[in-house]
Amino acid sequence: MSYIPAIGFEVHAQLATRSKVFCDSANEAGGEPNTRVCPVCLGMPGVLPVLNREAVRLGMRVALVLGASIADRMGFARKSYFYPDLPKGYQITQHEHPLARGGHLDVDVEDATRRVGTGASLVDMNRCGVPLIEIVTLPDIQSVEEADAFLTKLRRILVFIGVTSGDMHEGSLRFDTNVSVRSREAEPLGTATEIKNLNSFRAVRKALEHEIDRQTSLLRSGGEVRHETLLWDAAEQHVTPMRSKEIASDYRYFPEPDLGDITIRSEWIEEVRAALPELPAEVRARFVERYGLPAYDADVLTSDPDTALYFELAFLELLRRLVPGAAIAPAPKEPFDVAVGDRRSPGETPLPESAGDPSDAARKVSNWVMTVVGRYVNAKGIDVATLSRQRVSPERLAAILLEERSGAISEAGAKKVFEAAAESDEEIAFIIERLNLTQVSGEEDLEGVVLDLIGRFPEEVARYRAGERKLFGYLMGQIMRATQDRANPRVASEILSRILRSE
Amino acid sequence: MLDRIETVEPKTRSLLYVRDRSELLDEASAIDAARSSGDRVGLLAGVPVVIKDNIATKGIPTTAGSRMLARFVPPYDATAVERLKTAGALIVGKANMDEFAMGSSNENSAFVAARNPWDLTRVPGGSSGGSAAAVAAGEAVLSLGSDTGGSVRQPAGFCGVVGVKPTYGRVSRYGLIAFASSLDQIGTVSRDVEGAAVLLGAVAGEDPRDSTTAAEPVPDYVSELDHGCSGLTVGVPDEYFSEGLSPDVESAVRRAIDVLAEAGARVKAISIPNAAHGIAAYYVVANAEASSNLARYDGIEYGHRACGSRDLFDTYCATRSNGFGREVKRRIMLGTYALSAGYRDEWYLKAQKVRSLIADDLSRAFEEVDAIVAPTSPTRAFGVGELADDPLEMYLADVYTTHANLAGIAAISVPCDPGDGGLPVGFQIMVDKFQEVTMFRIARAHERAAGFPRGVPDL
Repeated sequence: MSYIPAIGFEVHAQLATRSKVFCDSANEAGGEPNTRVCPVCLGMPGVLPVLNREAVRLGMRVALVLGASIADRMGFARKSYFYPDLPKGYQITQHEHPLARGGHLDVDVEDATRRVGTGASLVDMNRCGVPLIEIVTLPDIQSVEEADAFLTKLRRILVFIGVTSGDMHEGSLRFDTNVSVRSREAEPLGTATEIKNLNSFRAVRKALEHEIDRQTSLLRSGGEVRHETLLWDAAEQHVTPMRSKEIASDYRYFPEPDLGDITIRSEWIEEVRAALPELPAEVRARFVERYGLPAYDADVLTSDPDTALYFELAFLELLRRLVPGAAIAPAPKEPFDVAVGDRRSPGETPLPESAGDPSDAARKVSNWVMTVVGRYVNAKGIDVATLSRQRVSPERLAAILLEERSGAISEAGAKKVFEAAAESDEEIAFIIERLNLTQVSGEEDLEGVVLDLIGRFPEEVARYRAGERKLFGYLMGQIMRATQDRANPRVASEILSRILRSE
Repeated sequence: MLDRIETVEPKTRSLLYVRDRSELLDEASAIDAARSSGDRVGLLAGVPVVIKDNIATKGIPTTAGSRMLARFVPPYDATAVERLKTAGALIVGKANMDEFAMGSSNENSAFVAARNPWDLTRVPGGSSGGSAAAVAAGEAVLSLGSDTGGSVRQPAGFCGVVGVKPTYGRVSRYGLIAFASSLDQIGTVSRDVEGAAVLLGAVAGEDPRDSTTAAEPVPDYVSELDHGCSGLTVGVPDEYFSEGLSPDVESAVRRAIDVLAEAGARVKAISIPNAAHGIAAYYVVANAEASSNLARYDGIEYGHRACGSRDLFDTYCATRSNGFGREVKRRIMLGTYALSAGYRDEWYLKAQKVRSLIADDLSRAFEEVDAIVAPTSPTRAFGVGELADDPLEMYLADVYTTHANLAGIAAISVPCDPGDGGLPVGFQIMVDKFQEVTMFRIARAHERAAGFPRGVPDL
């Protein structure tokens, strides 16, 4: 008999506020030890917390996209325990009066849609004042695949609405999960165990697989699952029960007297709702439906908001230059300097009719962003926003692709121009000039090159003519090498095949 | 005044820290120079003020009367101190107090117990005992204290000076070392009502660094001081004149009420039905909050840290065992218990319910009267050591003062005629939230009619 898992999550996301949740110290990872602190986040005697409205605003965004209802009054509580990174001996958290309740997120796995119930208990506080949001789900998830899809989708949404950087290496997303198994869906839920300390999707997957197996074999052999809290050990790939000393059994919650209740006016909620940025699914749909991208491309491009924006701006710029008078607005200056959640989508207005079928241009740009641009930023260890700020803005990428499209440079040449453009502030045209990359497309020029080549490789030419057709590629390679990639490959291959056939 | 401090301080022990004489004289002459050259100077220009030692003063030790913070020098000023400096006040030193403001006699100071300037064998009250003693003994003109359950009013009563517990949220708590955050309020100690009005006016008002401060504008407390109490109604709650009130205090307070009546106030008997539960509710709520507020003193970030511990847990234990005094530890344990799973409903939540009942009682009373008058404390200053071994009896010293804190209303203690020429007796006037103007008017009317202030003790 196989067992059906019931999986729930507590997702902790660090909010991407400029300052900490209860003081104005910078909320950034890294930096010299103890430089981003003040008397308030150090919990020095006599200081008081003041709630950062930005943290509430980001929390409201989460509530709104999950369709949760935002409480008109929320409150904070003190949660007491001793820990070295907890200077006051208590955490200020939401306990009985969270920011939002209800809400859900639909997850599609294998053509089936699972609706996962969520509650956004909110604006937590940890690690010396770094604001956190806790998103709690019901145990609605029924497989590891669904769990994976849920977390991936949630992470993408949180990043797109500017709530968190989503950077797992810096711990901006962490997960606790609870899991139980039962023999049939009609059965009541089994006894669940909790697994803490999961900081990557992989860890979640591994821990769930491990725990579902463990519980299943336990039940099969007639045993019973005990309710306990487990820690995932990534090195050993297994779970260990937490020692009782590590589980503070009594947090002695009571209302935080330094903050009091916070009233959220409905006008504020509407303001936040109106300013909600596009969700990744909306961006993805536009890429497919309006720009004609394959679903795979759209998926990759919308894995993070910077890449999506970079693609879209470069694409629109290319289109703008290809179709003069199509009334496409030019890209805004320094688009990446606007916080993710506050950006205006460049695709808000539909493309004008006169732009024609944009899918060619879209695929071109998409290919480049996924390959050339992607490889470059990975190799340099930067992100596309940095690339854009430093040298290759979406407009510059569009300028390079335009040169390639017009035939002025070859694709290989365009790649060289891109590399050079990333290192220099020169105009694209000047780089092409400097690197001597102007493509040779003239029939006469190329015919001379081909004839010269045939003279230099008589043996290969003879073998080709004797039927060894694959040597065509070799000869083309020699042409490109001889012209330092400047030969227009289409024209050159036409001439080569004509000459090879003719004699 | 610095000479006076030098003379009397060995007897009163009201100050834990006195600033360097030359530094103070420099500040004073700078103010004199500014004044004589016609520059605008603040309302409190050159007035010597002492600050209770649980209120943060930048660059000046702030110990809260505890070994835990014996060497703590804050890098920031409390908002109230910042405002005093803006008004031109001279911060002379830091006033002695019960450790973390927990006590009613000053005997819980970790360093030395302050004495009552009127009788050095008696306590000055607490926890702002040093503030009250310093003003009574002429070591300062004004002082800031803090009042969580009577900690300004009770010592003011014992020392024959004026002590104000303003409405909760009237004065910023930023920089006040927290005892019980929902009850704490910085208060004033002065020789007369006018001093209280000026000092409160200087420190009151909204503060972005304290979310619990009120946006309510600060009225001019001085301009209506002399409007008298004619036409105002004062309520006398039966429950405040019952068992436990010493007869000498009762008769002094009754006489003070007569003084108000003669000055034109209407006197009305009222009832605060839940009054008797106030003290119990107060100690549960205050200790619960204290157990949390004092958790930060763990020897990690600042302050005292025990040496020679093996691990983190050990460091926590050793630091807290020898850094805190007995009374503080007692209250942390009581407060922790009151919040613990299984006891929280019965203690903390029940106490909060009582708290709202008392607040409701008081609101109802203020529908009928402008002010409630009562004794400040059930007795006059008791002898040093008399109650030191009886914490429960000591807690009862706050029986008439905790209601104002529980309900968040304002109250003042003014000296009234003891009748026998003996130790001072405090007369308490409570008003509804943000009705300090009325409170000062009544206090001032009494002060004038009864002939206060009446000199300084011979030390």
